[in-house]
Amino acid sequence: MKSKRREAIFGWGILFPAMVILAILFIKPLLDLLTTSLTNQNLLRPDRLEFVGLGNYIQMFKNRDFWDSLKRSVIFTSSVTVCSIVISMLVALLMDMEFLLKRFLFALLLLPWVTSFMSSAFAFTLMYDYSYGVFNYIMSDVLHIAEAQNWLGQLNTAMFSVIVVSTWHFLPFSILVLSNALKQVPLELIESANMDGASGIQKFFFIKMPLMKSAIITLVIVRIAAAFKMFDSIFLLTKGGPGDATTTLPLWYYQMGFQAFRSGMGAAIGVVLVILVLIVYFILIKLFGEDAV
Amino acid sequence: MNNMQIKRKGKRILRIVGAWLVVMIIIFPIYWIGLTSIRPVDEILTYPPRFFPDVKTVSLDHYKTVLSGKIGSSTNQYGLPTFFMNSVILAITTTLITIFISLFAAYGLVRVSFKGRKLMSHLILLCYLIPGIALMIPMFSMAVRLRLNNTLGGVVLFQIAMNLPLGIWFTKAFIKGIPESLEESARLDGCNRLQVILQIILPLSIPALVVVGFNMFLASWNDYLLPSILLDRERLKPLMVGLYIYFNQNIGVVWGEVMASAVIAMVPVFFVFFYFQKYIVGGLSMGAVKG
Repeated sequence: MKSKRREAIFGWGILFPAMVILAILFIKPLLDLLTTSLTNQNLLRPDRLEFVGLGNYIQMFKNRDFWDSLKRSVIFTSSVTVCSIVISMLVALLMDMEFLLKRFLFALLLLPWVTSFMSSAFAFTLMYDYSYGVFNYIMSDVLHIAEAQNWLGQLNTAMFSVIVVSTWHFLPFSILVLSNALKQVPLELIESANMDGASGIQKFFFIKMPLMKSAIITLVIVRIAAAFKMFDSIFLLTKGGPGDATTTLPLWYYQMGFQAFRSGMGAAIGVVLVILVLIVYFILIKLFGEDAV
Repeated sequence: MNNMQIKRKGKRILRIVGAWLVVMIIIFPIYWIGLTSIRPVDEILTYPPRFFPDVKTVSLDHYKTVLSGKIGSSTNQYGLPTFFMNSVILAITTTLITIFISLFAAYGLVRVSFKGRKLMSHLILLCYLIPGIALMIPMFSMAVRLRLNNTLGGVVLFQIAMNLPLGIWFTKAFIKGIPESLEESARLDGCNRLQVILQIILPLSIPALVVVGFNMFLASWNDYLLPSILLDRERLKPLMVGLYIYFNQNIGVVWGEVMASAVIAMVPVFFVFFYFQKYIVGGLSMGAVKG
């Protein structure tokens, strides 16, 4: 009996630092977010603090900006997730063999993963530049597919341009995960498929894909969550502009809280953001349950 | 038959060339940062763009300017060296503290049985799933109330809080795989629990801790939002916040300096990455770690 109690004390003791930090610096802000969202808190006018109930939420759902940002978030998240996983799959299939310097090539390939959103924002802003950029050169002068564009500054191209940058950041990690999953596919299966005269596409869809299912599902979940809450990359490239062409929910939240100083309203957006992310996780995990974990 | 072999060999070579080409395209933006940082301004702003450096004009001038603390025409008192040191302090402190707290907490959740253990596990998973960005407004208010804004300590604390759930979760999964028998024999030899953790679990968990540590280092070093909200004194800004201001003010003017500072900001991360590469790549295949 005594040892059981000692065990419990030891358990709580060893968890104590983590619990204190999470309780004070994570759970408490989370609760503050909820309570703030029920007030008209304004950082510029702290004296006029009033309880407004669900007023912020009602106002938000009536506001077109909310639905527009949500729509942009959905476009951004789905594009980045699909593009990064499809491209990664192609690259992983291409590199699924042994050759000289493969490990070195793989190390190079992983660099975008450790590159900061700041550095990529610098690089892509220069590459997207209207007058001197590499993109315009390749698109219009080399490949002749598009006229010269002001990629980040035009309403019709800005969203595409930020999607490209986030996809770029997500590629290395996805390629790594999918490559590892491909390695797990037993060689005998591929060989027997070869004997039966299966084509490359058949082998992919009927043998490799099903065996990689859990890796792909995990990746989809991780990607959706990461893209949905993406802030830094978009903000550093466009600040949500031009106009509000790239203002996704996280950017709208930031603008409301830190530029318009309407922290009450901002907190309501934050609550919706949290709930949406949790719903997405919940649905995906319910759908794919055992494969995901 | 011979024909077939040639065809196979050709296909293989084609694929290898394809693989190199794809990787070159993917890392092109990083190459472009490096190239821009070593060429004079008139070569940066030229059309059509030149894809290779001109040996005659390559210089480290932009690096000299940046390292002297100046960027462009800015006469700020604090420049890149200050920002760099702030980033080093933030990233190292955050990483070390997170590793230790994660190790102890994870051990507690896996190997110590007590009431509430399961609840704690679920709570940590929930924290892991909640997007940290949504907490910026209350974190800012809290930092102001506790007078933690404009201190590096405040940034460290909130960064730890945001990265700890992932750290605990990952370490926990790893410790589960360490055979309990190792621990039992050490305890029969008279080790107490704390000794077991430090002498048995810690050395065995190094692969997991390196992965966790690298993720923390990366998250802290590359973080823009949190420090930009908490710090407005120039003297305290880390690289990501300090440099963005220059980039934003002088856009189109000082590309060389901006890219040179970007290279300096990337070097420590690349260095740590290549040093621990074996662990990191191996650890990542254990499970999807970072989003």
